[in-house]
Amino acid sequence: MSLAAHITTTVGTVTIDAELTCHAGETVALLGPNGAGKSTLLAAIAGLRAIDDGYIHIDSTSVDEPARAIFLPPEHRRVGVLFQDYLLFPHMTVRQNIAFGPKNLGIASEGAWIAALGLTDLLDHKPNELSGGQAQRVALARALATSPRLLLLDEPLAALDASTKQEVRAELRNFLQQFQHGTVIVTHDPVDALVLADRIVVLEDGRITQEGPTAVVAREPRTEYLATVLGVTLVRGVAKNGVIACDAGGELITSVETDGTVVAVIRPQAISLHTGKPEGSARNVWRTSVTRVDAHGEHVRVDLAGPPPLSAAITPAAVAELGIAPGREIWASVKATDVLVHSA
Amino acid sequence: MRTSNGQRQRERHHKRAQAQAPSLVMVLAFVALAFLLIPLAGLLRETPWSELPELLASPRAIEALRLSLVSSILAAAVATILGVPLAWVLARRDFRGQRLVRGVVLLPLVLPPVVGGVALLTAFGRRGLVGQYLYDWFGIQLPFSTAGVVMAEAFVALPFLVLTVEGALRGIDPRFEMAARTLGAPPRTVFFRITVPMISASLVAGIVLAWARALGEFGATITFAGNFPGVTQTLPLAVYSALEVSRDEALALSLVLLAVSLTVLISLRGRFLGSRS
Repeated sequence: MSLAAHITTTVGTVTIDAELTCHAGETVALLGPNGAGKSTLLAAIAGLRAIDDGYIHIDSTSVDEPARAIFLPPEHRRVGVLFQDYLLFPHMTVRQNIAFGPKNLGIASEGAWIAALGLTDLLDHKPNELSGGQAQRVALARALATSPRLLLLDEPLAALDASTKQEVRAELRNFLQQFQHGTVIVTHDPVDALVLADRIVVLEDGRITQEGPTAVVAREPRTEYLATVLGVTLVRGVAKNGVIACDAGGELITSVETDGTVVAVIRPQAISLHTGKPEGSARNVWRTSVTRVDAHGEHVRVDLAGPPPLSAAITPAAVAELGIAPGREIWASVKATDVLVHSA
Repeated sequence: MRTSNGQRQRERHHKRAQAQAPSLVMVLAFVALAFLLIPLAGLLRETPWSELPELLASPRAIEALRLSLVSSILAAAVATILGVPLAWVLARRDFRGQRLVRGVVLLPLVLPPVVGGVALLTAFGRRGLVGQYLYDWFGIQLPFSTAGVVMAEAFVALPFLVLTVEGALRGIDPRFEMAARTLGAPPRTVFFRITVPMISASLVAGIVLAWARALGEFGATITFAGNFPGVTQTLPLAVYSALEVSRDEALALSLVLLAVSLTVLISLRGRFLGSRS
């Protein structure tokens, strides 16, 4: 186990109370909105702030445990940190930046990463001569040069522009698959979490609201925040005989016989819109009005008043054809099989 | 030619729009500038240029020059060794009475130097607060010695260094220091390998300012250390003494100080007190 922690601490008005584990070779994404306490957790694990209660074990060694009066300062933790804006030392060359850690620890530099990350030709450059993607790789090599037992990445792609983000994300994924120790990534971008992590831990307002394997969390979001960032709609309600009585009003027919309190996930693409009452196989058909229309890349998101309130994603051509605008009365339909039900 | 004529016309046109400063302000601004420049012109006009090498080679001048250089460099070193840590504490730590501490640090900036000299006497004089023990236990006597000159100069120079360095420290992101900690650097290494190099430009500016202030020190020095040629008579003191016997010598020594001041000012340019242009 690279990391086993139960962290209790307070920052401003947010009380953080979270259990976090990370196995060797595993990449865990800490996903959550800004101000949820993600970076605070990272700072605590790195030793840049002390926790109020609980424990942090790295490689089975306790590094912070108030009850036992244990606090290991950051320089003794062997935790590699990749900071959001990289924080390369501006007065040192790339080579000196990378050599800084091993020199402090009196160990031989773990130089294999320099070539692996394609930095051989950049060693004599100063940080201000690097592109965003290069700076990120240098910061990664610098963190890895100390042979850390745990790697922490704080919003590793946030400082990059959209065009390089994609490429760097793929490189980072490649690297993380080779890395033998545990990695914890803090991010507010669901794409980072989906692409990079084996497991996602959702942190909201200092608490863990959901965690599980990436594929499961992506398929079954249980919180409104997660559903929103994943671009799906979450409907809560009580199911009986295949029909959900939604908490926000209305009913949804499903294809499964789950009873009790449920959350249903509906992808916006699964909802069809019609000018007249549709004839077809869709089991859920209702008349509603449009509350909001938003362009989202290649599709247009149409919020419906309900009940239940849902969002549909359609093409710009369909928007024009159906004459969609806020306030427009419209028919909506969704197949029972597109209502993905999970017991809450 | 047509374009350059047109350009000139446009410039005149734009100037008309800018000429909104009341004429009284313009006149007073000019008087202020003249007030600063005319004394310098006077100094330059009366400087005995032809006898300058001879005057500066007089034993008194050479002694004063040597003493001034040695004591001001030592004072700048003392101010740096003590001032950088103090600036770090002020910039990086929050503690009760911080404002009071900063006030104490700034005090020598506004305190009349002669009062500083009297204060140093009461502290380090032979019967002073600390001085009596220095004398009784170790036989150390600071007033009226070259060491006393260094102390007086360091006393007035310290705030310049602290202010400049504290400003620079506040300007760098403390997360660089955190990053260094995660790379295995203990606080001491962080301080010397990350913090100090990152403020090097401002640190140099602060040292030069402190040194220039030490070089020009008069009031505290003459009060605490006296005016003994070869021991405590620095350049400014020598100027003062020379004025009574040889006006030409005073002028020559003044010119040296003026030249040093101008050099410092030019070399620091936009870096005055840590603000970059």
